Amino acid sequence: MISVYILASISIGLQEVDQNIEREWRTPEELRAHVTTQAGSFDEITISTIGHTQQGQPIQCLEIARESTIAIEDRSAILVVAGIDGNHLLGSEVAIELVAHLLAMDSEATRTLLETHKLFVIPQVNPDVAQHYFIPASAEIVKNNKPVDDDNDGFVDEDSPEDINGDGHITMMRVPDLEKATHIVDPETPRLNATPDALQGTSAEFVLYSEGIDNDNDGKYNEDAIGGVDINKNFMHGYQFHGDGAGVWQLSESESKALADFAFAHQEIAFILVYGQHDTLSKTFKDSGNDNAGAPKTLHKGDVKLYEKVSESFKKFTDVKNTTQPNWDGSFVAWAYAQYGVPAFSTPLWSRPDPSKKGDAAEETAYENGESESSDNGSGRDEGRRPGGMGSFDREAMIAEFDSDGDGELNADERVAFRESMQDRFGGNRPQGGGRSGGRPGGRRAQSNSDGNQTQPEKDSNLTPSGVGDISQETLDELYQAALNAGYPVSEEDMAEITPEQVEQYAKMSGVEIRRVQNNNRDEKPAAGDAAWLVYSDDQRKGEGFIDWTPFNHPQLGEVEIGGWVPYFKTVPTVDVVETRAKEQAEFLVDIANKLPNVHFGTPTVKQLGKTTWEVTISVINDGWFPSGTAMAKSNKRARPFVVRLNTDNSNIITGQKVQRIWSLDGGGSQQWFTWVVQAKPKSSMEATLYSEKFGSESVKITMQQNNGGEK
Amino acid sequence: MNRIITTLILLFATSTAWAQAPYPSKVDLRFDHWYDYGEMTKALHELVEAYPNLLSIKSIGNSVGGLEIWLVTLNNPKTGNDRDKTAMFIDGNIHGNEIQAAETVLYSIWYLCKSYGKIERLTDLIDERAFYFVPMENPDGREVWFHQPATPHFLRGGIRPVDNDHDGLKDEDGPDDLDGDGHITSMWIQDELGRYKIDEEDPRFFSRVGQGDAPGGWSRLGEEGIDNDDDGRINEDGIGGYDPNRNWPADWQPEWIQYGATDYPFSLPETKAIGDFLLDHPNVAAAQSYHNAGGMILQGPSASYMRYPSADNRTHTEIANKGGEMLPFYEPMIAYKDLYTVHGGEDGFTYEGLGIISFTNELWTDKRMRANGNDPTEEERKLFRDNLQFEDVYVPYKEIDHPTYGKIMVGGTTKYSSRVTPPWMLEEGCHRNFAFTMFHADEMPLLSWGALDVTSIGNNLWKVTVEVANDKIIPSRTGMAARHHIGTPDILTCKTTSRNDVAASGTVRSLLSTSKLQRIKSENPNRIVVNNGISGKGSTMFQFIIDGKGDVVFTYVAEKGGSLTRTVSLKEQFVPKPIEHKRAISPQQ
Repeated sequence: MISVYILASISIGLQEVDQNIEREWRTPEELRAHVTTQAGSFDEITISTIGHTQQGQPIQCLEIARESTIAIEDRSAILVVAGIDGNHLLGSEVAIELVAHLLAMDSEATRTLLETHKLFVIPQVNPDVAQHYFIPASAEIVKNNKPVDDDNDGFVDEDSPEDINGDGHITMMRVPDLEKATHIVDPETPRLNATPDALQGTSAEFVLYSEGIDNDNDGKYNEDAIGGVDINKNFMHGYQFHGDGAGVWQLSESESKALADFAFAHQEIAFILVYGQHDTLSKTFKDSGNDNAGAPKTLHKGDVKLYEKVSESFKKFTDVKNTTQPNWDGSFVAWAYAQYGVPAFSTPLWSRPDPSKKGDAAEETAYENGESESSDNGSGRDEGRRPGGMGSFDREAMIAEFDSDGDGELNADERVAFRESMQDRFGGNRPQGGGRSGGRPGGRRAQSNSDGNQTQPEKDSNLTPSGVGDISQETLDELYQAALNAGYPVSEEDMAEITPEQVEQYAKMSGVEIRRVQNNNRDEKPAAGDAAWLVYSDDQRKGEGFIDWTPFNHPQLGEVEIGGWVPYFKTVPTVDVVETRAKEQAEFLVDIANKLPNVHFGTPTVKQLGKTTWEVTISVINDGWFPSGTAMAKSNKRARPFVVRLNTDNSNIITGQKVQRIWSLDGGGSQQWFTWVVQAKPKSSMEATLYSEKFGSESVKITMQQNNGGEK
Repeated sequence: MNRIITTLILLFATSTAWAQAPYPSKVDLRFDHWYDYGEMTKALHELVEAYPNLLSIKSIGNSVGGLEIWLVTLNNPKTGNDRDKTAMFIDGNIHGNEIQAAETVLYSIWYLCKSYGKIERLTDLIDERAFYFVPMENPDGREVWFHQPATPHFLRGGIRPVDNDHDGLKDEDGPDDLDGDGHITSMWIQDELGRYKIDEEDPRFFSRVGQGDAPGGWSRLGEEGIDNDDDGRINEDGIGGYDPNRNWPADWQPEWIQYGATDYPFSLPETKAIGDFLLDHPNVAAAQSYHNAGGMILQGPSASYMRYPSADNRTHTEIANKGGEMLPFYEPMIAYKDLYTVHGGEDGFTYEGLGIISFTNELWTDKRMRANGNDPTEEERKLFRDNLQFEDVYVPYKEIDHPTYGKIMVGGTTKYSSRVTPPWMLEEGCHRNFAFTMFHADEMPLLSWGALDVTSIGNNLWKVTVEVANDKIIPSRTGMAARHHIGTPDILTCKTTSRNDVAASGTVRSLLSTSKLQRIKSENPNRIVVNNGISGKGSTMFQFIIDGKGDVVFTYVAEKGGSLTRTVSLKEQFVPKPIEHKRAISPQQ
């Protein structure tokens, strides 16, 4: 079995983690068994159970620490949590595998993490939901099995989706029901669905349901599936009372409660990293104002820089592109940051990679799909047909060619022939069904321009839309003028029928700069995302991500088409990603560990003011990189302060508070100074203590005699 | 002599025959008395033992300190199971120092039991509804008030240790009863620069000197206590430091926004126990919490950014206004507007989370000292304290030796001096509040069949109109419940036989021929989901177009308001809505 294989390779004493393991995604039970075995092999690993799921599965926690002069209980900790999102298998695997990498890394490099600090890993908070991946023909599930009447009809969980065409997946159904219709086939990409636009002359043709039958005969399809609550919506910050999947109240689920209770029981946690759907690391994470009660919705303004810097660090190790950010409300990472009060980050570790090579990808698609140069395939890709030298256009020759009556000019008929020839030569498609101009996202086409000229067109919202892609009317006017100036027989009718491809070609020929209107068409953004997923699926995953629409005779709905995204395709990558990420993340965590706050006393200074009167000064220094508390933690007073105490009777203190607090201390060597004037016998001593729930304690003995003290 | 004796015997006999009111209870309880946890527990159990046909008691959980949270169910099993009836939930004393809340709840149980079978109006109410009572939500806090040196404000929260002053220690420096009189009072010290003086007119007390005047020679040191942890501050971290009435889930906010909220909602066993109970009892349609003080009948919202459906605002206001009439010197108020913002409060949860019409009453107002609706003047307060309370609400100042300050005076007002109802005025306060809750309970939804109309519209085709009525103020589904799909919606079903079939269904505005069916398009016209319920003091006319002959059976099932069944024969008929006036004069013809 796989777990045995891994155990064998480690116990043989290999320094490197075996990179060539045949991997598969492991069930929650297999993961737990593997973790238990790992813990048996390494002294550094201690496992415990932090709670149980609704179905009674234990939620494992690993504590990873190496014995050193610093007692393990006194160390601050990094917490890695994964698998809160029940569909996020990658995170759980990486969380577990990175431990092996960590322990196989060179001892010196990992010293700070393993000997000064410690690491908690909770690899799979939500195994109940994760195991759906392993159930054949399951939909992609994020909610647990708690009975919820999703459609408020008095029945609970009465209509779940089914794999009715037996293709092994639950996908979608396109149902031609004009009364209920909401979508049309996306004219750009027929595998996708689009919303119709009456002004484009399109109207809805079908309605989309998830695959299945109407189990409760209420005319609705799969409207009340089994379940449930999404654990990652069940936390306090931004909690949506009565929200979809939010649960009956905060921490109503045993999994979320177990995780919160763990955090509360371990106040030494100073940094949290979540592997899950949210992303605070691959893109700039911003503040977005306050909620009704006055709490920052996402980031506190004062933490934006900190998050940027950590994001930069992260990107040195792991490159994740094209993530989407789900709603922040009620998530664990949101709560960990805004209420628990520590730097908390999240990354999905993987999303759709960029295409391997832009032009190539497009061309490959064209050929693979059997598109020929001149066919109107409705996919809108004509890059393959772009002729070579576009260079300068020989006007004289062209006129000579079409001037059939030889009068040196082109009359109306001659111009028609000229126009058609131009279209054929320069790849202007005959108009596609359902809309030739305007609605087509010209911007996208520009990006697939293989000579790379206009991959990042500038968009200007002060320009006027022309209805030709996102090309501005101003540009068309310029082109027209340029054509006229150059003597091209271009008429206004030509301009009225011009296509974006023609504009690009003419612009090149004439030297006119194409200025595009800012594209505010919201329908296009999702299409672009999904269309890009299709490219990825076709190019890099042999098309296995999408099931082509296939007719099916539905017992209740008649002729429908079944197809769509394969469940988990967009969230669970190929399993080889685990190994890469595990190695990268182990290194990232070591990097973070070396940046954690290191708070300690400086050397105390004692100045004699009188026979038995002394001025005692001491500083508290943070020479880690992270501040001891985020700006958020300072606001929410959640971060317990450092407590500085001068242990002598209060009556001996002439000035200065006996007990003082530091709510937060910036990193980089920042110091905060404390001074007392005390009364004491010469050569007597008193103790100053520094106490922190999170960063441990320290005490220093101060002797009453003049010294020149420590750094100032 | 014989005549005198006979007269006396006759008088005696007649006087016992006229002993109608007050109705005696099988359990002799006094309401000029405060019951600590032990006494309250005993009283509750005695009542349950004495009225087993109406009462049952169980513990729904334990406080932090291990005391039981008692819940008493009042229900007449002969008229149905409590879960099958619409119920009211009444609790109090979530703040440990707000003690008279528990007596008010105790009074309610006691009064209802002894009135059953004697006062018809209350007998009807008990037969129709069910009641759940939790007199002591915070028994730990209550016990501290009773048995530890306390003040009118202590102990508001619970006894779970909390580091109030963020010095790494928990509950290390609370108040201390330095003079051993069983009260936490205040400390005063002689101070040449002090802004207080011994009042010339009433030398029992200190008073402040005027703005520009010379110092009075005294300063107030604060609450009685010593610096137990030697950090230079006195009493900065005693028992408590959280507020159980900020621990509920709706609009719960963390500590820095809402003091006392603790780490997360329902982190306290006391609140969680009630939350779980209410979630499990969707038949609860009215909730009342008792607190002190201020003479208020509070409704939500508790935060300015919360918006309640206006129909629910009207429902709350209508009931609260009636309360204002029943409770002199109490004002109906909207929490965030007229009092202050509360995040995570209990009545916010019962309404916003569970869709239950809820109130919080702040028991006792100083206005009752004068009984003319005004706040008492200084003179009036003096009269009350000295001549009606016989000075029994303060401790005269005496000198003690303080470890830090040396010679100081300790004394002042005690926990009896404010917020708690003077015992000799307690019963009336209990009764009026109890009566208000009985009005609220009576106005919980009570569904009934209204009119019935069956009209033939073709060959064996019938238009059957059934009216479901609710003559009470509270709708069967509050706007909040409808909006957020709380619980199960009301369902109206028409059960057909093999001889008949429902073609279409929906609602109609009236029975006039011009009123067309507002059809609800559905695959199952037999079953109508009524998410909005039946409105308060209103009705809905449902109409079914039925094909066939024979009988059909209509059933209306609501979580709150009761369930109804009616068999209707498919033949032309009209039955008007039955109007019932209880206890109306109706001479037999």
